Amino acid sequence: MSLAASFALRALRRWASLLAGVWVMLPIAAFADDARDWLERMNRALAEQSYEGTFFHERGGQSESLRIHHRVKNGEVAERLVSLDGSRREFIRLGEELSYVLPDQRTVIIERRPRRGGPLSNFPRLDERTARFYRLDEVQRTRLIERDARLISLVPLDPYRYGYRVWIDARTCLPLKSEVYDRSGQVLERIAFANLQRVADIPDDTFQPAVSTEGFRRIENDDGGRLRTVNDSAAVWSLRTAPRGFQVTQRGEQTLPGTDDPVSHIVLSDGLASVSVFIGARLPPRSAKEIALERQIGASTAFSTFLHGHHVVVIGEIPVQTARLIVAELAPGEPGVPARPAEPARPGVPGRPREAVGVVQPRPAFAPQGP
Amino acid sequence: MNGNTIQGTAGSDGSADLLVQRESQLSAMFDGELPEAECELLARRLARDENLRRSWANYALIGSVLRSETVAGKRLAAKVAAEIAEGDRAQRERAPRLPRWAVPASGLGLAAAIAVVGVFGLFWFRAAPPETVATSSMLPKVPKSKVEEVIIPAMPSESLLAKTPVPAATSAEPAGNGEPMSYVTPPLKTGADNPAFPLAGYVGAHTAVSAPMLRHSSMSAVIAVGAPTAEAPAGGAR
Repeated sequence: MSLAASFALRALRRWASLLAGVWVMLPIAAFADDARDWLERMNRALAEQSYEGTFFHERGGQSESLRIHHRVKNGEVAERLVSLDGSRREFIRLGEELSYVLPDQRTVIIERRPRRGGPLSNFPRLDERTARFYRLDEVQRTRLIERDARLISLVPLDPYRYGYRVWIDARTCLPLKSEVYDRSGQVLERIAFANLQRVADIPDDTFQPAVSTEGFRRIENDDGGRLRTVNDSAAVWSLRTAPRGFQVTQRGEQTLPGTDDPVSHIVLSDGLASVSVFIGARLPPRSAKEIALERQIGASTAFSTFLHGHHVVVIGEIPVQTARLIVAELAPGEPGVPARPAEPARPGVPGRPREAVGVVQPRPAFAPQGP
Repeated sequence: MNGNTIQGTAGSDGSADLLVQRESQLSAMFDGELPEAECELLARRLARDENLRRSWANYALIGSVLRSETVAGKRLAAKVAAEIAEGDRAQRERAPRLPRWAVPASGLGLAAAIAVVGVFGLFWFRAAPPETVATSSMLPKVPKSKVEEVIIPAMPSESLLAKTPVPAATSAEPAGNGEPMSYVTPPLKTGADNPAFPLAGYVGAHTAVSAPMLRHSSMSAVIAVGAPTAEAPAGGAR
């Protein structure tokens, strides 16, 4: 065979393999697009529609029934979540005011936040970049509770995130049932609606607590959730690297109910799971305890520790190991000086586990940051 | 719904399970959530079963108590119990004694009336705006909303909470036939080695930035029974 013929044959083979790869990849990409579309539609439905329902929240071997009222009226969100079992605790969101009503502790916790955008302005979205960290299976047509539904399955591809399965009502795009599971396949949480209805309107009275809160202890922030521009270099924290797939999406400062000093709030997301990192003011040495606490809150992890005398709390829909990694990479920094990416030894973690994100620069509070 | 399906007939041994099932059906019927065909069957059973008729009367009384505003500030259960006791006593005192011959006839009349109420009441219940389930009716201050579409009309069937296989996390193969890994939810990490710290404020702030799908999860977990919430965060409580 001549040299030219050999060259042509090799080129032909290369093209053939490339075409075959594209042929195989196309349906997979189509699956992912379809699944992402359904997730986006579901998030929009949850945020923009008015609905009421009762659902079971199953976690840690316990099941609790809760009722939700969600109203979007003139762009304003009102939401009330009531425990129907025993405690009668409630979560009420009216505009930017959040209230936890805790009759069993005769306490009301109120957090006021300044107005920010529409109901979907800050929510994470699964885009082409972040979707790489999940395997999105083909959307399955199914029936659940006599409804035409779509089953969306997101399988985690590394240990830094959880997997999800969501049954979405095909007509209204509201979720009928959802599951969060860890990498070993253990279901951490299951939410299943017992009844659900879309409503045109919900009366204002619905968003009042069922019990009188007169005489309850009130824990609240004082000035409408003051979010301040981060302008103190001591308050600037750098995140040297972030777990793979996660990136900083928002940050700022705010006061939380019951605290005098503002906390820095850094938000990371992989497009689906979100992580909030709260960094409190530096405490006197005797107040700062060098202990780390962790707690599972449904599918979320809460991790609390002290770092350089600052109280740090991480809350997110992530495994606790991911929360620990984030805290390990936090350091008080100077604005504009990128910290040296650190890569401490993490046994059992696959290679290149995190992506450098650099210093969290001071900007107006909670300014959304692009990918 | 499977949970509401009437199966078999009432056994003479009156098993507790069957009784609970009938009570559940009755409750669903009262809330207009029992399928039409099952309503008819239940109405027939009401006509034959004195215990069930008594339960029906109690449901009616509970409904009237709940609809009134007189129970505010008192324990609902105690109030309902008192109402029932009082109602029974008053009925005994007021009810004229029937001649012996009239007793069977009155029973038939009652049975027929209940059957009619059961069947025709169905349409009345269906016509009324759905008020979801009995548990939600127990909540005070839940005004009616204008319903656009009922997506899930009643309590779930068993299949709703059924454990379903979870796709394998590490497999590179499509998970169409994913094998179940485990269906056991892990226990909560609680206890002295994992003391509570203030969560509600942090979770509230976090829910403002988390995905809508996951917000219910965090909020639900915080208001669930036993969740820690109210300790003052580090930095000093007001």
